[in-house]
Amino acid sequence: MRASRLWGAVCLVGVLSFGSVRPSGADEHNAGVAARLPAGALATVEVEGLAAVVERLLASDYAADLQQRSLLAPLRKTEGYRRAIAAKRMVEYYYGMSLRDLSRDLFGGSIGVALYPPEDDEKPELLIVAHPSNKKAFDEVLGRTRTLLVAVAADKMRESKLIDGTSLTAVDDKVYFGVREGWLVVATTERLAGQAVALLGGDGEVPSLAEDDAYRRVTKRLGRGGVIRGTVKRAFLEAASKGKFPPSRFDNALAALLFGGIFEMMGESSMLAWSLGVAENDVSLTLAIPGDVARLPERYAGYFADSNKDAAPGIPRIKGEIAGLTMYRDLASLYRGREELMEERILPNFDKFESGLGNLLPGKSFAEDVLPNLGKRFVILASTQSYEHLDGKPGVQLPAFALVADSSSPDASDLYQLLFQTVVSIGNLTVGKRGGEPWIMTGEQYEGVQISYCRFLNRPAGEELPFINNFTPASALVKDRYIISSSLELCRQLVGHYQGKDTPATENSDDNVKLLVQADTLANILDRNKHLLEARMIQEGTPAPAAKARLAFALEWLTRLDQFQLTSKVEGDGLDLRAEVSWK
Amino acid sequence: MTTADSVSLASLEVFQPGPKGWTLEEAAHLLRRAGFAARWQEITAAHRAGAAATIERLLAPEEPPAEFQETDELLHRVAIGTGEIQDLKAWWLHRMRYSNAALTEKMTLLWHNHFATSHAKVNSVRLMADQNALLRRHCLGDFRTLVHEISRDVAMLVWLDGNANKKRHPNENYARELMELFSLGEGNYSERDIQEAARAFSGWHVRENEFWFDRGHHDFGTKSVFGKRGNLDGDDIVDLCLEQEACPRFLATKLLDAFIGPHVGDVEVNLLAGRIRHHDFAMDKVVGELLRSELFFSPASRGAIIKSPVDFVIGTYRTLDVRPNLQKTSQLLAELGQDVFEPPTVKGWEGGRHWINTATILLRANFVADLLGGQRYGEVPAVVESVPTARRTSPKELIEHFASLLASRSLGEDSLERLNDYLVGAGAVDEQRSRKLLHLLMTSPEYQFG
Repeated sequence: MRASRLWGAVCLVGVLSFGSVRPSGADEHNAGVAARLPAGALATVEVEGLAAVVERLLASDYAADLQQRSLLAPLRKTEGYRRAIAAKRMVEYYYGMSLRDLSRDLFGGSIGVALYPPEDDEKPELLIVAHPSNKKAFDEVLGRTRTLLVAVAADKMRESKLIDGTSLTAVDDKVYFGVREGWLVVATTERLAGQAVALLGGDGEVPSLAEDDAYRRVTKRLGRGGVIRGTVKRAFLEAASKGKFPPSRFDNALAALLFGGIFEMMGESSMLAWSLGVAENDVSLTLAIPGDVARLPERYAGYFADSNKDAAPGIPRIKGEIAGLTMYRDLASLYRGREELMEERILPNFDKFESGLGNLLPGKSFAEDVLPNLGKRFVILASTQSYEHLDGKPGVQLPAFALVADSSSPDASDLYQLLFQTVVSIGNLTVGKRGGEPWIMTGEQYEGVQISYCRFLNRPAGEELPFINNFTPASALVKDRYIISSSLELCRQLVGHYQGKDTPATENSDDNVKLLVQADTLANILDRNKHLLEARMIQEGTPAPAAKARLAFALEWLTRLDQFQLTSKVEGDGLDLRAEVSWK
Repeated sequence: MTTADSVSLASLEVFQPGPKGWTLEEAAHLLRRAGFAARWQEITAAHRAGAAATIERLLAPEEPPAEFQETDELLHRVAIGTGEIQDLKAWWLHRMRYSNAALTEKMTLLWHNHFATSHAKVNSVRLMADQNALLRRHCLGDFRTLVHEISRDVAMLVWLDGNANKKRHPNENYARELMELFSLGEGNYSERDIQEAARAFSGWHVRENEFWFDRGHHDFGTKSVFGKRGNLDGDDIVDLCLEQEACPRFLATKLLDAFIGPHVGDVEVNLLAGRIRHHDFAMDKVVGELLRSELFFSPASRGAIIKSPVDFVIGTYRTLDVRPNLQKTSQLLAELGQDVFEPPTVKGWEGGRHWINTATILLRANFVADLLGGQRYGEVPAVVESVPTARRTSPKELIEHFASLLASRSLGEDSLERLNDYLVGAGAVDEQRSRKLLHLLMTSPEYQFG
């Protein structure tokens, strides 16, 4: 119902010409879309200068490449696609211009879309204000649309009333239109349309969104920039998700570790803001959450450092890096508060884990004796492997993984060393059961640091070696950092890095959590395991040629990207969450 | 369930088509029993080719298409690479579903059940894959060679504790199963024979994932098995087992159970045992004769076997041309009681009536419902379009088409009438109605028989 009303609003946009008594203003929309929207919105979207971005994307090699892909061939055969093309041709024929030009001219300027609390209806009311980028084309479209509407729906249209010389036109008393100062107003209630028209006329009686305190606070936090920007009231978000978002507790321990604290911060602010920015070589999505982390309940304290500066370690740049994750987490504090942070149903898993660990560390409490010694600042790294320890390569090539943790006390390094030895022992038993080559624990001095590591009893040789050959576990203590790695090669690199062998060790970071993925190396490792991915798709029922084509397509696109970053940072009076994808 | 109590005594004589000639039903029966069922187009192609040519093609299939071979190699490579048994299961299910050598896969499955070995203990995908390759290599070859090679197979040696069989502490596991389950059957050997045979197999060990004759642990002393004395080794024991009168009879029972049904009597067993002896255990010749026989095509044989989960599920995929999700299929088969590469015991799957119980019959019905209405296991292509136009001019024709495609037993006038009422009452026979018709047919008791 709501959708059809909105469609009606958009399709019947031409009737506004009945109410247009003043010519469109010149460039007065520069004051910002928020100044044209009445205060009190539940959620808003503001768009500025989208046309240039879309034009650039359409003109890029990527768009041309996508057009030529056989991947789109099945889509072109669908009934929906044929209908869409037919509709496009009709529109283009009627308006005498391409749909691309039409969209650019009408929607390429400034647009504001906002939802407001309903008056009677249970659903929010909608308001759209738009300032077309091409006035001449806009007038042309209005004229032609008016002609069309008069021909097909004149009996449903009503000129409602004049507001400061601008009349509103109602269609079926469901959608209301008006034009003022070059701005098009479309709303689902007469009151809302009237308020917007009054604002456009500079009526001081109606407060604008730009004057709303919560809006000002949250958009100040967000900063300038972004082609598309939006806000949403937390209460609306909660109501729209029927209380499911933001979740009060996590049902997944990993998600709780990575994203904990963020949702709780949302509870600190009545409004959130986001923006989508598109630059020459990257696109970013930023979410701004105003609030003070210090005011969060004690159970969330483990997510945030006392000082936001140098909160987490920097991610070392190493050869073959696929991904790096750095974070500040007080694991002991979070573990103690797990009953309040996580869903009841996953808590027994922790008990099981503790029981298992009890066999390895008899007489120790995981929460009190183990976790407090593990430090609070961690880096997890994944990198490609060169398999120097093999004469051949494994059939499935895994990245090497490493965990780097602060190790401020001797107890901590002992604990990590014990963990390392235990993992190796369990690994050896498992490999032995499968008839694999056992590991021998040994050590070496590298860059002045003692590395403990495992080597295979006999150097494995052959192609398509078993999975276990991906692992040569290694560990080292470098200054106050403990490194535990699935590969000696990665461990050596990290030792070299922290010893400042080639470049100075990476600086600390102000980020609370940062995930960095390098597209090139990710593509490389995926390419090395292409056969596995293809097989997985075939196992799921995809025909082999289609699996091959889809994978080739995905890999090719991945190699065109540069990096993916996800960052959460506490700064000043709030927290920012930012996802960014850059390309070459 | 109605099955004939006996069959023709002259039952191994070459099948002679009746007055109507070689029928579509007979072609469907052959492709179901000697493979994993087939699409309508394949049944009609077999019908056109005739019984002799179709059986010949089953026994000596053409080279598989390049795309199949490439995918087969890929899935095998991945299973070895990951070391995950689920991947190996997916690989084999892919072969069962898509291979043009359906009889080869059926025979490999038969020997997998005969020489039942489980990954649960072997714990090595590579070894299980090697054993599977061994079974496939000899599945329609010389049974003698197969038994000799399986006795040295590393997975089998791990499964039956070969390394624990030492001169001073003989382990009887393999010797016992060789006689009881692999060649003779209970009552055809003595405990003394087993003890002596175990000594002969002592030192047949595994080293570095290869068969290794460990001279230090082999008993080179004199043994006496089935009345023969001497410094016998494992190969001698295998030969002695194969020479026993009971061996061809034991093997004949297995083959008749698999290809004819559980209703055959001693006469047929003796007849086939004689043919096995005559062909000196050459399985292609023995199975070929069985498939060409009157016995195979006799009405009593048709629909006489309760479909195993593999026959039920893979057969449904092949019949309806489904491109399945192999991992989910493998999980389903385990739930239905036939977890390939992981038979429950050294005796393999009990089969027959054991395939059906209150839980598995519901699971079979749920599988059919999921397949025809959802996408969990794969997508069934347009049902109506798969039926030749000439066979869907009326609801009755459509029902008859599906009944002959799916059911190995006659549905009975009453069932056909009810199905007809169901379709006629629906007005136009559209895709949805056709799927519901298929659902009714495939959850019927008749569809549980192959």
